[in-house]
Amino acid sequence: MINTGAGTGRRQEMALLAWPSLIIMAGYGYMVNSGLHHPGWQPAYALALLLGGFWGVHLILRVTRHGGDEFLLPLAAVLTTLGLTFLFRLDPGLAYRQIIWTILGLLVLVAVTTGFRDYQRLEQYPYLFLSLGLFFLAFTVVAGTRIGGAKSWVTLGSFQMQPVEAVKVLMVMYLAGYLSDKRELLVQGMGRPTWGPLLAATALAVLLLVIQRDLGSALILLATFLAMLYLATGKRRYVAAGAGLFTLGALLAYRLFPYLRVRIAIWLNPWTDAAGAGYQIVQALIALGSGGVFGTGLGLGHSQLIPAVATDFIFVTMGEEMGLFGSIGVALLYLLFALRGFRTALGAREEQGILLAGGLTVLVTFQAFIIMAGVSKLLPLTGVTLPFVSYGGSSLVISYLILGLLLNISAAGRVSKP
Amino acid sequence: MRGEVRRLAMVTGAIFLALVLYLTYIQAVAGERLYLNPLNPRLALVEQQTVRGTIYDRAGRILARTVTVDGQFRREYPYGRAAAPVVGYVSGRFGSSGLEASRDGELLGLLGWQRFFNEGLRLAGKQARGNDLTLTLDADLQRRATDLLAGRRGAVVALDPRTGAVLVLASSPTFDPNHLEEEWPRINDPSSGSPLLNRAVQGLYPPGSVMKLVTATAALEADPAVLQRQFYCPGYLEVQGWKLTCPRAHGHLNFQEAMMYSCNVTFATLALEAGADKFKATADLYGFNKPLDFDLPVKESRVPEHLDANALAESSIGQGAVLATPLQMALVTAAVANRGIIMQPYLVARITSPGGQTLWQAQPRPLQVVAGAGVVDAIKDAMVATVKGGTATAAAIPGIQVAAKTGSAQNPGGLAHAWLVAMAPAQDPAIVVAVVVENAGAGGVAAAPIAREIMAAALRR
Repeated sequence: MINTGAGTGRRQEMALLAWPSLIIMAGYGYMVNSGLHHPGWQPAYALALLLGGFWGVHLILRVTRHGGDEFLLPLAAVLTTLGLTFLFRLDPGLAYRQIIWTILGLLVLVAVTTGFRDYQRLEQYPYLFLSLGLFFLAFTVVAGTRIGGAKSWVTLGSFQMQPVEAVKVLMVMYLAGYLSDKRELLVQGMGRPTWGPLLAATALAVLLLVIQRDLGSALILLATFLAMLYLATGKRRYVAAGAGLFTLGALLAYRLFPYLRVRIAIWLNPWTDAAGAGYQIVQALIALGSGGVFGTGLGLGHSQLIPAVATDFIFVTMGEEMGLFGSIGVALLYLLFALRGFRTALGAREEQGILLAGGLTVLVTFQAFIIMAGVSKLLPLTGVTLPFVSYGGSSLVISYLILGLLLNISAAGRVSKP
Repeated sequence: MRGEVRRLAMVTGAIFLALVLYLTYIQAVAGERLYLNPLNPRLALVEQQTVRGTIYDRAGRILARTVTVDGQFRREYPYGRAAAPVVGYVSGRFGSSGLEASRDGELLGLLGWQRFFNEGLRLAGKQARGNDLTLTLDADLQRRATDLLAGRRGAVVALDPRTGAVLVLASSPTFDPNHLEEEWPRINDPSSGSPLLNRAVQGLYPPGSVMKLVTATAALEADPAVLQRQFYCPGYLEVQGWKLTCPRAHGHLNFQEAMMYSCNVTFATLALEAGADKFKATADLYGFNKPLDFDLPVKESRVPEHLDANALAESSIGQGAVLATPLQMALVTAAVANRGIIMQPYLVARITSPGGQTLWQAQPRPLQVVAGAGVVDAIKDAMVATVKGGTATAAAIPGIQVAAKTGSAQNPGGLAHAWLVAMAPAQDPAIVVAVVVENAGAGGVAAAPIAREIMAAALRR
């Protein structure tokens, strides 16, 4: 905030990028020594590519005199490189693909931060985002493939993606535009015409998600919506009303959908069916407990036997092999990310920027929270990815898109300060 | 709007703080318990690289040890079937049971700092070694009890009432942990009588007339004058239109005679006089309706929560919904033997490191004060009379005064379960025995000889 423009901030970013670089190099060392070579690739190339990628982005931001927050990129880089190291440890083949996704994500980041600096243009097309988001959702429902219970995948040949990741961002963009436009009316708390589209859009999104059985995403969308509504209006009772409506809906869904009852029963006591439905969560708890305070060390844990460990459950591997210190560290990285995101919102020039930055920050950090809480049985398990860390192309690329938008908002906020 | 952003940031901070605290609980506080859970597949890997500790009985006889055969670890159980209900088994295919399961952490050296040390050894490619256990069990008595039960279903528990040290914990039918692979199909055949079930601690039986020890305690605590009273048994007692019967009409008798001949009418009358609350409170003091902390998982013995007059009369003679484990009834008897004080029962006496250093030693400690010495001595005198001239004459040992109580517990499965609890020598009991034989009829006939043999053998040592 004090440093306007690209001066000291970028230098600090450079210093901070040393940490993810160290993690990549440590990962490279592990890769070379572990003998877990993947036939299709050279560790040295991977190292060069990743180092080049992160430092390249930094240089581009520097050259283009981008004034964005200097902590966000290093935080994302630490999470991504940690994720890559653990992915390699779990499945070198997935790590290989994730490296490509990381480079793609960084390209998206560069595109957004250089070609799309004026985020305020987003305000002009709220209904475009809404329609696009709903289209993606409807398309997934119609043409989607069911993988691991949730029908949230679209398969095109050998290529799979989760459109819901894009839907979440589109919804935040739509809501940022819509809420900043209709804010006055909402604060006065009147008029069905103002509420109508909002409730309809959210209800529809949640409904579609329930049909897809992607409860995690529904929960994240709802929380993000309520958070943004609170930011726009400052009225806690709207949030309470929203939470109340959600509770009613959840109770209804609990009665309607047996799979949801199973989920809740597993959450309350996974030990009764430890070999069946409760297997994942029981083994996740055992893995976290086995790691203890200090962890077993990289590669020395045994979390591979948990299904979906590279995607939904990667936090468990980190908890087992880095111990309590590691798992708390990862949680704190997301908290730092949240604090920088909220700081960006505070610095934004106008309402749309506050809403967009706040919404995107909640989107990323709440998703991280519910999956970390889900695999450790603090909350019922909902299968979502750990942003920047889990294996998954759509998730990673969208996370970097969000990072780019946050950087742009913070840059705009700083430039405008007198 | 910026105020809202700050508040949202604080809420985010709060939920992350909750997550961090919760993770601390899971990983630091509950971590070791989760790690030692039998469902943890990591333990099987540790198993392959660790020499599991040896389990000894009280005299140093080996109950379980690991030997190397062709470079592979093999677990040996020299006492086979006899010790199996206590020691259990450990197998890569079938999991684990008994002390092998409940003391996994010690036997594999996985507790506290030892785990780090042993993990280091394994990383360095060396073999780690777990800790040894020394039990309070007497392997010879255990084997004798198992032989006496052979061919029947039932359990024998013997313990030292002065310390709580468990000497015998036999269950029949049993299995041979040395040949688990071959035995597995038989073990899981429903007609084989569930050999994996440890009836001594996991079998819930109606205690029958043995429960009268509890009823007597309640009655004497409520009114010591019971000892001077005369009762009359016409062969039945009417309770709210329902008839509780005695095998025969005992006529006029006093408290001691009621115990000697196990008169249902007298004890039901005493329970009704003392009241449901007093009866239940006394049973709770003896250990009913609460979990027992023991080296093996113990089923909770129970007396129903709400007792109307009918249920109370039934419960007072150990029928109805009253259920107890043989260990529980041994503890009831131990309280009578030990001046009203139940000592915490225990099986593991000592844990020794691979280097021979004692890491932990059991300390006898009182578990519960149940009743005053005057009350339990009166009960004990009645039990002595029961052996001299009542229903338990078959428990008598020449030259040693024995006190005992029989039970024949009605059950839906056919013939009554035969019960006998006993202590010897009566003046200062060094051993308490509880025997149950399923569907064997009268306790004085089927169970008493087993108890007598065990007590005689224990006192001869």
